[in-house]
Amino acid sequence: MEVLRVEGLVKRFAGIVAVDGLDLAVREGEIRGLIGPNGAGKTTTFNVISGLFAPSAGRVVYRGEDVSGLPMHRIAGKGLVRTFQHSTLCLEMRVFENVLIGRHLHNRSDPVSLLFRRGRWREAEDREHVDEVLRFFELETHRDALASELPYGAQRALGMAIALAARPDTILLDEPFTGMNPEETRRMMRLVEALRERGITILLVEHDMQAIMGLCDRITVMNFGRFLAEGTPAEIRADARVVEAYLGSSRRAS
Amino acid sequence: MPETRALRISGALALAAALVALPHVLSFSQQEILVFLVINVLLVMSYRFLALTGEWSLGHVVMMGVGAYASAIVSKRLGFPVPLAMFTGAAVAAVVAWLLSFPLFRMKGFYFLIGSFAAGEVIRLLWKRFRDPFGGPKGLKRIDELPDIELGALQIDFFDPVAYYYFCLIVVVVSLWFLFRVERSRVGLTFHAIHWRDNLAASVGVDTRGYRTLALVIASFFAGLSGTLFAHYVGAINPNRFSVEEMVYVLTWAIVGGTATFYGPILGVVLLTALNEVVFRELGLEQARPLIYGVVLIAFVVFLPRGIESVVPRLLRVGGGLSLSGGRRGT
Ligand SMILES: Nc1ncnc2c1ncn2[C@@H]1O[C@H](COP(=O)(O)OP(=O)(O)O)[C@@H](O)[C@H]1O
Ligand SMILES: [Mg+2]
Repeated sequence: MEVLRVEGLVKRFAGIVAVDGLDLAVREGEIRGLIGPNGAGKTTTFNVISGLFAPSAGRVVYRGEDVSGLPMHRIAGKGLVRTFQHSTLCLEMRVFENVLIGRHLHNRSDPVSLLFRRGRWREAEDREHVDEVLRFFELETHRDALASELPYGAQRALGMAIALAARPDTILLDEPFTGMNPEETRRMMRLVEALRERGITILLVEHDMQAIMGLCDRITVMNFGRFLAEGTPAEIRADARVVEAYLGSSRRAS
Repeated sequence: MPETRALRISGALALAAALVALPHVLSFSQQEILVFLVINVLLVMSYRFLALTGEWSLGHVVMMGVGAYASAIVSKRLGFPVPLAMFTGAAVAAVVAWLLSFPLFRMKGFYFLIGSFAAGEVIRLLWKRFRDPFGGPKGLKRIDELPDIELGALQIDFFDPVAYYYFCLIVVVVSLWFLFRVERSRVGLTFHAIHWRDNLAASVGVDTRGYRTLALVIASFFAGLSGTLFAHYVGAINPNRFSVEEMVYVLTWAIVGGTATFYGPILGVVLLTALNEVVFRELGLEQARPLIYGVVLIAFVVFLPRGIESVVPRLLRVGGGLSLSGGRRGT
């Protein structure tokens, strides 16, 4: 079944068209790769799907419902949660407090206990869930550290941990493996695989081609904000247009 | 651990005793200043509460004024008993803040700062323009005071600054307890998250605008409450009492004390009030208060931007280290 569909998505910024008529359909339970050269519009696509920006044209449909233009917190409330390309954490707070923020939607408590129960966010249910999420991302030893004290790889993992704490059914990961060494990347790949086994649908932007090819069921390629190709990792690897797009971009860059 | 707990309890008891005893060692005019100090503690602490979400407003003193005007009017015109009028005044400030949040929270940061200033000036203009019911530029006079209390032999006249000080102290302590509990709750955590990374908070479902509004409404309620305490003590209010000059004082207290800790702004307002009343009054410099506050504000922004609170742990460590080494020598 299809969970997420993007139809003719356009996002313009003053002077440039970052996303130019993109179509995309993600099936429930798959790991879908979204790749393309730098500046292809991948992050902008995430920003529009997740509600950070409203689309200039086109639609985002989540579980049959048109969610285009809804604010980010409403879309998160529907189970669609994204992470950020650049580490976005509350660096001034402890690791477990960051994860608690992720539990926002699942922690409705009444005003009375809010005032009278001491340290009430450490309720058993909260604590269990936070610890479970931290264990999942192998962060439990950092539980009480400040987020700013974590090594870069662990900060990336914490970003995902916050998203997971929100209990999403679909998660958008924007370059989760940048700055990780090969060993960390392999470990995180296993975790992303484990997320899917929990029934979470994953849309993954990543530059590490080995990781993308190893993880994804299908891959969508963008170039200049437009759809370029879609297929299995093997098909994408063999696609001449994709190779050309990447070579072209590295030629442009040099 | 039990030792630190015992230490904390005895510290709190000592502080309570000091606060109760304090007015009795002061002169009459100093007692009056003490009343204003306690009111200002509530004002600056409500300001800090708003700052938890990262927004700095220039309209906060006007919210204090909204509470003061509303309370004065409902007690004069509608005959509300003063305690009820006070609560009503604070509630009106909260409602006005809620209405203002719709235009204001389309803006953030610097634009919010300017927007809040403009909104405050509009309210002040309304007070000046409409003689009825606001009294125009001269404001309102003969505002009812708290009624006397007679309990058998015990007679409390709130015209007496000591009695009014105790009344304010109770109101302010309860208010600060409320603000403290909210800050330590999940709501406070959400405020902090909005301050540091509002996109992150929104990405996991936080309605950042809603929470900013909540902080503004609660902060304005307590600013309004401080205004009602002021109005029913002084008995007269006018638009200039709530001008941007007063706002600069509040900013100075907050910045001098620091806003990261709960006690920072209290330190700021207490130390600056003491400086003002003890040193400057002696030197006959109190007319220069705006100038001096301006200089102090700039000096802190440049040399100690995180306020006095940022050096307190260091001072305590020096003190603690001394007593520790003393203890070791004893054994
Ligand atoms: N907020 C923004 N304002 C203006 N231009 C933007 C903004 N975000 C992205 N862009 C532009 O849109 C294009 C696509 O960027 P992006 O989506 O970040 O690409 P990718 O993630 O594929 O590298 C780039 O040219 C970028 O400069
Ligand atoms: Mg990107």
